[in-house]
Amino acid sequence: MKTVKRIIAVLLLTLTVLVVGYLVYTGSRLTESQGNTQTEVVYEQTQNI
Amino acid sequence: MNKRRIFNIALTVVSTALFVLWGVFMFRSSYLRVFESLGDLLQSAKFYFCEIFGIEHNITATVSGYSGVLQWETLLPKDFETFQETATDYVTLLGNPDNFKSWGVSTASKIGNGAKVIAILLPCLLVFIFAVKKIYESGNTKHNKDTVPLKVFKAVMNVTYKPVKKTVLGYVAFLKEHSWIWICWLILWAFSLNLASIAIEFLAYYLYFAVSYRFETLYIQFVKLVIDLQVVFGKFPWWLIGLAAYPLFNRFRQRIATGKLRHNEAKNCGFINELPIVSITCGSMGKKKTTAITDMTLSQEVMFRQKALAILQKTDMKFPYFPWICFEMELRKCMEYGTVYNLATVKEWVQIKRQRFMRHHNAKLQLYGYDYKRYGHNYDDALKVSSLFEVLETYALAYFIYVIQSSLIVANFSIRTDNKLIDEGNFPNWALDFFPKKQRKSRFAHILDFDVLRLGKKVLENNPKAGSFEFGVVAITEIGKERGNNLELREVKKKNEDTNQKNDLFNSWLKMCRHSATVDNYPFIKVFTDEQRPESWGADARDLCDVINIASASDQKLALPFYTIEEMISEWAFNWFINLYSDFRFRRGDNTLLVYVLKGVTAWLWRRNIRVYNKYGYSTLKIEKERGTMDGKIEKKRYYLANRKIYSHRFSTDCFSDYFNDMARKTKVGLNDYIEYASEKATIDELKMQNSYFINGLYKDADGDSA
Repeated sequence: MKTVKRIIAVLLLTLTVLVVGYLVYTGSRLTESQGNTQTEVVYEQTQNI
Repeated sequence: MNKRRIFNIALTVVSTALFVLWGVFMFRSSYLRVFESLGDLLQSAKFYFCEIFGIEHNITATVSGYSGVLQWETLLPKDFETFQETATDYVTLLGNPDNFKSWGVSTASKIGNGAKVIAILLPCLLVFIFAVKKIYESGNTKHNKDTVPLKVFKAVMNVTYKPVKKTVLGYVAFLKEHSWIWICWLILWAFSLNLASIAIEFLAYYLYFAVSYRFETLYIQFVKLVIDLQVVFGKFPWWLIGLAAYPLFNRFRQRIATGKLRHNEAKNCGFINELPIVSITCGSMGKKKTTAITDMTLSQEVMFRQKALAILQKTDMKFPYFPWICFEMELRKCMEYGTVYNLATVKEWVQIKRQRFMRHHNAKLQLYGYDYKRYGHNYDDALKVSSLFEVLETYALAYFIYVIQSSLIVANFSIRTDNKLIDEGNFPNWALDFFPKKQRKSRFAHILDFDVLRLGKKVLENNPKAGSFEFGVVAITEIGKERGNNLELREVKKKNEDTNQKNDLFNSWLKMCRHSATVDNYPFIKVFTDEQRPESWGADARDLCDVINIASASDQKLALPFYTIEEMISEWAFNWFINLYSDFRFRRGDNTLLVYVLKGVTAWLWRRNIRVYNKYGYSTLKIEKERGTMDGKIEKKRYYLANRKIYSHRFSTDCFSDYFNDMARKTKVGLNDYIEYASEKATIDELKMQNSYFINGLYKDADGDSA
């Protein structure tokens, strides 16, 4: 029982780190893509002017 | 002023100056934000009062808008519509396989970097282990001699670590002594880290929202909170935030653990309340019988104090304008002078007061100025009418039980209690918590003189204590050995001259003990006993009890959450080191650097783990409860034993050990002096040495036959 509890605890910790990592990574990708879109909009507006 | 004090003051001044400079140069925006928040608060307050009193105004609550000081870009969009769009994009991106693959590649790259580090370190570690094994292979018997590396290490530590540790500990003690210093620092850092602005903004928004109910502004507040928190999360590395957050996390889980232990204690109290006045706890040796009755005794003592307080509070309401404080003070004085020392004398004292009042009708003297003509002197509870002095008697009895500053436990073994009466000259409070943060002063149970429980003959003729016992918690371990059962007492006669179990009327006391202990219809008496088998105690007494059979005791459990990995590390470290250490102890007698360091680290981990288990560990007893008549109807229950409560020097499991010690001390032999068998088969002489009834009987018969 003790061993099972420990295995579950380690797996849960690893899973939490991976999930949080994935959420943060996706968030950073979204910011990057938004940044790129904004840059493109500014570029197009400059071109139009 | 000594040098240490000068150093501490200088360090405080330098640290404060550094903190101020740090705040000015690194967190300037936080202070500007505080001023902005105060402006928001002022506007919100104006807005609030104008709206509350219906005054026309054109005040704009600036708290509903964004900050002009902190305009950092966050992940969150500025308005809720864009947030919804971005959230949709985010969720879509979360489910995007390309994004997942990309994350996988990024993670694999990071793990790869870690693997490279391990690949470099692993051979070094192997070489190190190999070298250490080679060095430690050769044994010696240089007892307690330090090796040269250890001597060097200790010398270096003496001039580095030790003075630093001493200084730090001294400074921490200095800060604890002058708490205003760290409180000032805390306030300074609350301003620097923008926490003060968050609190002020919350108050400002509360005033605004309480009268405007503009839910659409909630999102802006959330974004502002994230922006405000960026001061903390944006300027410090993640590991430093983690280190600072660990004590908070620890405190959070400790509160959960203490809450769980208190909940278990409440369940135990429920179990004890269901028991009749007398109970017997049974179980084979090592089933924690005495532990269980000690635990119940401790809880019952606390419950008696709490019940006495509840009676006091209810009695107070019967005559709400009576000056109870004066009545209490006079009773306490009588207790101090020794005129009142038990419940009977309390009743007598109130009776005398009543007689004096009836004689003189002097309310100022006897009722402390209570205007009985205005506020009344009778209390009608729709069942009966009680006079003021009847209510006063109940109050005085309950107050006596509540305030008496000795243990309420009377036992035939010692039990430590640490309840503390906190008194500032008014109504005293008891600190009755079993899980306090600080250790409290101890006191011990009263010695049980069995004569006080005998209504008939006494062991000590004219025992001055006889008849004095009125209320309290009685704990008797091994009751069967004291009282015996019908079979054992077959030869004992009631008419005997000597005091015995049949003529001491102990059982009559058991049946009637509640009469002396009842206050406001509640019996302040409970008797907890234990024995291996319920049948060991005579049926006349046992039939009064509930029999609590301890079926099993669980392994140690931990109320502290999120501790599994820490416990695993501690256990692994201990097991690994003990193997190494045992081998080392066998081979060598000297002290080496490696063992010195490893032992220090392992001992620290081990001690921490033990402390955690002692503070937050508990075990569960599976209990089968049945009536003393033992009619076979069994109720299954659970009882919780918290380590912090029951194993903190509460009682001694070997409470009768001194009897055996005394016997053993008088003999001149020990285990080592017992003769060993010469081979795997005992000789006749060896058999005869056993002084066994069986063997002696065999040889007596054999000798008789031959004769």
